[in-house]
Amino acid sequence: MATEVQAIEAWHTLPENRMWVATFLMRLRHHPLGMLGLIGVILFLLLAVFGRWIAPYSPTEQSSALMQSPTLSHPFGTDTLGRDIFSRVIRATPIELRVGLVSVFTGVGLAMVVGLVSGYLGGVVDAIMQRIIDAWLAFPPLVLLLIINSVLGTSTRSLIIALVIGTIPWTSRIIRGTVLAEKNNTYIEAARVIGASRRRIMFRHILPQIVAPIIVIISIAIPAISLLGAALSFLGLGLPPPTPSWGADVSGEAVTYMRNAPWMAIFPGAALSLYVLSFNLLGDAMRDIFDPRLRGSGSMR
Amino acid sequence: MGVAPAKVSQPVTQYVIRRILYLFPVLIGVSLITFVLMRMIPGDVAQVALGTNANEESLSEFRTAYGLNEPLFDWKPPFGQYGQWVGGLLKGDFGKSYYYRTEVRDDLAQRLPVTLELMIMAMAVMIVLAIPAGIIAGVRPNTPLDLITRTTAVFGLSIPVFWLGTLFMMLPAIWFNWMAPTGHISFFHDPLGNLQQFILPSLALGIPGAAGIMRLTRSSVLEVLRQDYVRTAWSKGLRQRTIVWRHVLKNGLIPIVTVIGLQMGGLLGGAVIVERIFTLPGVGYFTFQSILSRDYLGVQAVVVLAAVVYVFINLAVDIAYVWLDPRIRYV
Repeated sequence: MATEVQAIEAWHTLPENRMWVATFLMRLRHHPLGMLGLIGVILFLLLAVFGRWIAPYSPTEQSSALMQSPTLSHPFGTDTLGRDIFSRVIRATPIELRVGLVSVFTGVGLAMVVGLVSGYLGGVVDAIMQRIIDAWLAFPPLVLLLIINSVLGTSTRSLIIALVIGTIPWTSRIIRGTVLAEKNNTYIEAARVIGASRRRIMFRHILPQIVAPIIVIISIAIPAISLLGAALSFLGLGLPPPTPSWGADVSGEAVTYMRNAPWMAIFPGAALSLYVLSFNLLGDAMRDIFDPRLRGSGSMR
Repeated sequence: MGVAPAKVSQPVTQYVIRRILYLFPVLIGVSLITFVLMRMIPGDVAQVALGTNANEESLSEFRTAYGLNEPLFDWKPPFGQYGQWVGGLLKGDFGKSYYYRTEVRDDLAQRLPVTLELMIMAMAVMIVLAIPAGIIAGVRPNTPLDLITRTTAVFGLSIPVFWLGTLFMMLPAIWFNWMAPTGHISFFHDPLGNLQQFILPSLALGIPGAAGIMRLTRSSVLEVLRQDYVRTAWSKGLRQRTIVWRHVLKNGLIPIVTVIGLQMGGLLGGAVIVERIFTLPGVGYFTFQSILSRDYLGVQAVVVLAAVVYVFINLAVDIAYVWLDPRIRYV
């Protein structure tokens, strides 16, 4: 709800010109924490691209050095199979980024279509679509995704499908709200009067106006969905072994041997926390900049 | 003769009736989706329940006993497996677990107290940590105190529940050689042992939620402080404490109560994780195990119950809004 209000109001403050990326970066200078978040996100992107040259070992290479405590040659120690945790943490970055970004962009993209159609057409279409979304939202989110991943089997692809399914209902609700707020404007009426088709009005007239709230939604969804995906991996129904994963690597043997080898659980979890923190800090700054009225407030998701 | 007063329409009643009617498609949808999805999980239920050594004869015997040979959907009574399940639900019969061979209702009744205690304590953690901090930050925005609270909140939001839970389990074990007692200890038998067992799981479950609630409280207080009636209260010379406690909180807490109520579903998901880490025999862990062992009826019962709770909290909240705030119109 709070998110909905913020997102609706966000578009009022979207800079008129199309240089809003530049404007955003200009204003970000006054948000030290947002700047920190941006730096963090960029670092993780660099790690994703250049990680294979930074990581000293292969993430799946086993050795006889089992559960070694952190040393110079293994900065984060080794796990029960003698794999280098530092390398696994680094090589997990592109996987986590791909899963998070692909799921969120696909999910929000589909949610955009749902929200536009449902909000603009209204009537029976809206009623049916919204009852489906109601049912979808009534599921305990993690439980639904656990079931879906059991159906699809554990793979990167099924994790992405599950996360897309977890993204659509609440994001489409918010987008529908912004569409409802937008559709009674005079310019929409004008477009209708000159005979623009419904599809044209939805995608050429309304969509450009709701770009700002959609950006805000994406900035909320990336950290939230990354956490959800990691939780699935932690429960053993996300990324399949031996894929390096910040979620899965915290569970299993890491918990069994936590007294003797705490580094097995500490480092992957810390990496995930820093990753989510970077996106949260950047997202907060984006919300502040697009919606100065609610400066510093966050959302529930 | 004056003009007859305009007939008072009853949008609230109409709205409530329509909302109650909406419950049916939602609950039918949830039960159908769960029913179908569970049966799409690869693997043979009978095989999972009886083990890989079971012979063909006992497998088919098992399928007959649990009605697994019947069609899923049917137009004629008893309307297939789905119809039988829903019919049972309406009578309070959740069916029998394939795996444990027990009544699902008893399984749930046994595990519900654990999860309820966990959720209530997690909510207490949220409220105790978040609301005072949120009020302080909202009343004095952009002060160092506000900055510290907000930064803490972003950190809290970014920590995964499963990692926090693992750390809470691991660090006392390493530092103090202390482990939370395993196996459920009832509060009524041993209150102290029970609290020892639940304090860390509730903190792990409550802290990330607290971060969200704190931010919401802050923005809600900020929002209310801008209202005209608060300015009036200032100008008639009320003390700040009176304004915050009597005027701001009354309105500012409404959205917070709502969000806490709606977080039940999320808390159940968190309970799956936390109960697994701390090996608490609750509904969350039961759900997870039931999904893994293709115990359809257990999962279906949990999902439908969670959906019923969610839907009714939602309904109660929305109706409360209409009555509390006459400015809200429902069309």
